[in-house]
Order: sequence, then structure tokens, then C-alpha cells
Amino acid sequence: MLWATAYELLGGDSPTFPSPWAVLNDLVSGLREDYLGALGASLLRLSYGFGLAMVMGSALGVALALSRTAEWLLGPLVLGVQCLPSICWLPVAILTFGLSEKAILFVVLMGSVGSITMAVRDGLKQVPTTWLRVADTFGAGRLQRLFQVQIPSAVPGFITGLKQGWSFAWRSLLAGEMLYRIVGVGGLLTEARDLAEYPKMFAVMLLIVGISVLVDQILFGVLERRVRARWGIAA
Amino acid sequence: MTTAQAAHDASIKVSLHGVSKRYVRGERDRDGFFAVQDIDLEIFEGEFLSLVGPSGCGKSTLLNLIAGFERPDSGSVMFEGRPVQSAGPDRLVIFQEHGLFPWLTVRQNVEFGLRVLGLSKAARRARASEYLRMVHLSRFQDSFPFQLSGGMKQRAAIARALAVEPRMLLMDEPFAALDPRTRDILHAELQRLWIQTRKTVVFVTHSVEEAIRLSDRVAIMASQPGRIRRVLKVDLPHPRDFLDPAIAVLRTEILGELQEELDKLIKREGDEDWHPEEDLLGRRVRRAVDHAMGDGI
Repeated sequence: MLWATAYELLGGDSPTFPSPWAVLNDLVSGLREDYLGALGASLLRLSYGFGLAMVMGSALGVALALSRTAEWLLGPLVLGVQCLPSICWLPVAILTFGLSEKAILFVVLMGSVGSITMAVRDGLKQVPTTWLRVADTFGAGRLQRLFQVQIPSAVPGFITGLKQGWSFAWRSLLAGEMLYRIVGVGGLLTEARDLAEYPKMFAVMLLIVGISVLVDQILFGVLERRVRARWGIAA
Repeated sequence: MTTAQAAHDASIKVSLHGVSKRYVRGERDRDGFFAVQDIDLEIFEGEFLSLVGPSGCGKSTLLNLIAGFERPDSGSVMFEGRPVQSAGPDRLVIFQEHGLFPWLTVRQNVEFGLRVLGLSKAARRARASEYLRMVHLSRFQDSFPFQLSGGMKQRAAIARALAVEPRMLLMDEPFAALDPRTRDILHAELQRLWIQTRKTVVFVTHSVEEAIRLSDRVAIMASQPGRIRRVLKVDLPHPRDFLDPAIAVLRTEILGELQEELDKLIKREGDEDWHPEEDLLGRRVRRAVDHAMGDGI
């Protein structure tokens, strides 16, 4: 609405400010042609990078929570990695892996592994004393305590960490995909820039917003609310 | 050793001799303070014993020492004639905050201890069903803890504890967070379960009424340092009701002792001019100042 009004007020038809109808038109026709394929390629790439981040982050998080030595050695490093915007890894990634899928995967991984690691570590360290004592009074061993009490009790924090990690991974992926012509959502944007197609740029941006809202609010949002309700944590 | 002596020893479930536990508050606190000091106490097989006293008298510390969550700085804590080394399912603890695992259903919670013990699936199911029936929660076995009321959660926690058939129960203010009506129901339930199972129970509470209603003996504790002031026998048949006049008589006696502790606390934790208007028994406090003024007129 605002957009349409602004468009009319500015007299319309500026090449750098497309009308909402032109953008929607491009989005619909693009979805019929190559947008879905690009989106699929991006999401597949994301799931590789993010999947790897989940595995590495969980393992690192457990190590940091359980071993003082690991915490002392790796704790500050992980914190540093988490603070560094993932785009800063691009130069290193490109020099190491070249302009390739690997470079993008690397950036996605570095962007999201930190938040997942921290979420797992904090979740495991902040188990309420009562639950640990319940495990002890029933005579649970170290492994039973870890798998049946500490890990389940860390689940709500883990999901919040995944949600944060996902949004970092998604941002890193798009930044990586805009580096060169590649099949993917970021590639579509680069292509539109090269051809100065404003409606297409805005259409792809809308697509990105749509995916972000879908995954962030709907997928992770619903999961987070349900888990928090069951775990008895106020929203 | 005479036969009588041996029989006496065999019936002692827990014995504490000269038990002290000191805590240090921060690095500057050189002396620390004694949560409990020089405690001697014997708890007998099948007995229900309550620990009552003002906050900070070390009643929970004492329970944690018997549970094996903490080790004494000096003295010995013996369970069935052997020193307590660590926590274990022979001395099962029930907590104020129930401690049910929210990610498990009521039934899975009750089966938790059984799984730790390594029981087969069939045996776990049978045992859990039995104890869920005992606390009247069969209908809610597939509910999650967040769907239960406070009283139901605590009953589920009791079922989980009894299911491993511990040789002793340690209860740390289990009903303190419940409303009075629910607490009354759970008192009746706990008495029924205790008469049925005759477990040895150590019960920590703030509530003198609760202690008298449930216990064979009430250990009245004093604070700073935490110690046992007196152990009082409650010679009334179980189950008991709050309306029993004998309970009121004992309550007055215990509250009288606790009043002295409360007076000390007020002196220690407040300004010089802090004088509560009523004591624990609801009597108006007559102070020396009042007398002096009255005499003058």
C-alpha cells in the first residue's frame, strides 16, 4: 500500500523505482521459470553448510561443557568466531578454496557454528541443580546423567541456538552466492544487477524475505514455542 | 555385646555422630559459618522423623548429608552401619520443586529410576503402573508435568521415588510450595502410604503442624550454629488429623521453643527497635518497657 502510494506520488515509472505491480509480475513469472530452481539450489547448499554446522557445533558445545581443558583452549576462540561477521571469512575462503561451492559452504559453516556451539554449551551448563540431584539420588552414572538429563534439559536453548544459527547461515549464504554467477538466490540478484533489472532485484528480495519469515517465524517459531511450553519456560 | 544391644543396633537406620558442616562465604570469610555443628542423631528403622526449625538452622544441610549430596567436615554419617559415600537409590530424595523431568510423561518419569536400575521394559511397565495406582495418577500417566497441578506433580514425584523401592525416603520440604488444601490432602496420602510401606522417612519442614501430624519424632533445631535443640516424641496413633486436640498441645510446646530461636533471629537480623507485636502463638508480646510505663502511672 505504502509502496503503491509512494510510487504514484513520485509520478511513477522511474527506472530505479519499480511499481509494486511490476515487481509482483516478475515474481510470479520468475517463480514459473528459474526462481524455484535457484531457490532449491540455495536451500540445498544451505542444508549442507548448516547441517555440518549443527554436527560440529553440537560436538564442540558438548566438549566445551564437559571438559575444562577444552573450555580453556577453545572457549575464547569460539567466542571470537561468533563475534566476527561471517562475511569477513570470504577473503580467506576465496583464497583457500577459490570461487567455488566449497568457499560458500565454508562461510555458511563459520557463520552459524558459533551460535550453535554456544547454545549447546550454555544449555548443558545451566541444568537446574534439582534435576542433577534427581539423577544422583536415583544412582545415574555419568553417561546416563548426560544423555537422560543434561542433554534433554538443554533442548530449549539448543532450538534457540539453531534459530539464531540458521539466520546467520542464511545471511552468509546469500553474501557468498553474490560473489559470482552461480545457480542460487544470491546468483539471481547478481544477475539482475548486471542487467540492471530493478523489478527482478526487488522480486528476489521479496522472495528472500518470504523464506526468512517462513523458516524463522513459522518453522523455528512454532517449534520453539511448543518446546518452551512443555519445558515449563514462560515465553 | 548383649542380645538387646545387637537388636537395638540393627534397628538403627541412620546414625550421625559429631557431624559438622562449615560453609565459607566468599574468599574473605576466613572462619566461615557452621551450617550444622556437632550433631548426634539416630534414626530408627521404620520411623518417621521430622526436622523443624527456623530458616538457616541447617535442616536441609542435614538432609543433604544423609542423602550423600554433601560430605561432613567432621564426624560420621552412617547408613545401615556403613559410612555414606555418595547419593544413591537406597536413600531416595524428594525435593520441594518436585524435580520431574518436563520432557518425559508422568509414566516415563516414574520409569526413570527403574531404567537406571536396569529393569526390563515389562518389569518397568508393571512397577510403574503399580505405583501410579498407589498415588491415584493412572489416568494421567501419559500427561506431561506442565499439564498437572502442583499437588499432582508432587504425587508423581512420590510415585517415582517409591517405585525404586528405596530403603529410606528423604523429603526436603516437599509440600512447602502447595496451597493449604492440597497440602492437607497430601498429608493424608503420605500417612496412608507410610502406614502401607513403613519406610523410614526423614522429613524437613518449616511447618510445626505438619511435623507433628506426620512424625513419630520431631527434632527441633536451633540456628547459628545449626544444632539439634531437642527431640520430641509424638505418641499418637496414625493416621492423625489436624483437629486432634493432642496436636494443638504439642504445637504449643514446640512453638514455645521455636519462639526463643525467633527472638534470637530478630536480635541478630534487625535494628535495636524491632519488637514484633505478637509471638508465634499469636499472643501479644508484653515487654519490659510496657511494664515500666505502666508502673509509673
